[in-house]
Amino acid sequence: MALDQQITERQETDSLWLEREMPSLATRYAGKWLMVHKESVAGVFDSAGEAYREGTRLFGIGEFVIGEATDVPAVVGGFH
Amino acid sequence: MYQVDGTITHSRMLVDVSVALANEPTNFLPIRGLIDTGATVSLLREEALGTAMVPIVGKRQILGVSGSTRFPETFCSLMFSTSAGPYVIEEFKLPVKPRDPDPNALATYDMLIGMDVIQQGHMTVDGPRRFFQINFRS
Repeated sequence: MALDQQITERQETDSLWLEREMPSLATRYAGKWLMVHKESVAGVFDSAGEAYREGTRLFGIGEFVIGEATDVPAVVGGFH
Repeated sequence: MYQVDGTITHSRMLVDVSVALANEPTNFLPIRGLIDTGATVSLLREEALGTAMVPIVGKRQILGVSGSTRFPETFCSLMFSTSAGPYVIEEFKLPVKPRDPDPNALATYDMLIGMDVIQQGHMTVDGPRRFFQINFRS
């Protein structure tokens, strides 16, 4: 299955929400890891691993997204 | 000291690394990484994973030279072979570039290794002698 087809509608919606809300979340939770479910922060953690495990336990893979609370953009110079 | 040694070839720093996805945590796949100190995040090509089912934990906007693209992100462990044995970076969130639609597209590396990995250690580049080292904290 193509990678893009493995992304659920829930994850698509939640990741867009996370990007949109990141400026305020980065201020509020700087340095923390966020687990997002249904367009709200479902948990705040010290590590990505904790966020992943709790998201998997509570909602299952495909039903949440995780992200670091940071306003630093992700830059990759040459992925061609 | 967990030390990775590499040579600079054609102005590029390539290093062997293995990746294990979170849904298969002991199945490390050997891939070729390109050190990219200009990248804030690392990036994996989907082709490097073969037919493995990739657990997705998000999608993130990545800025590149040709604009911005939203890439899926997976959760994995990275393993480097070092002078003191394997050095593993666990629980690592990694954007994945979806498979290139052109099956003949050339790729000289499987993964860009960005500052999110590099900054976990001390990196030395010796240009005249064409080698580099990364010393990961023990």
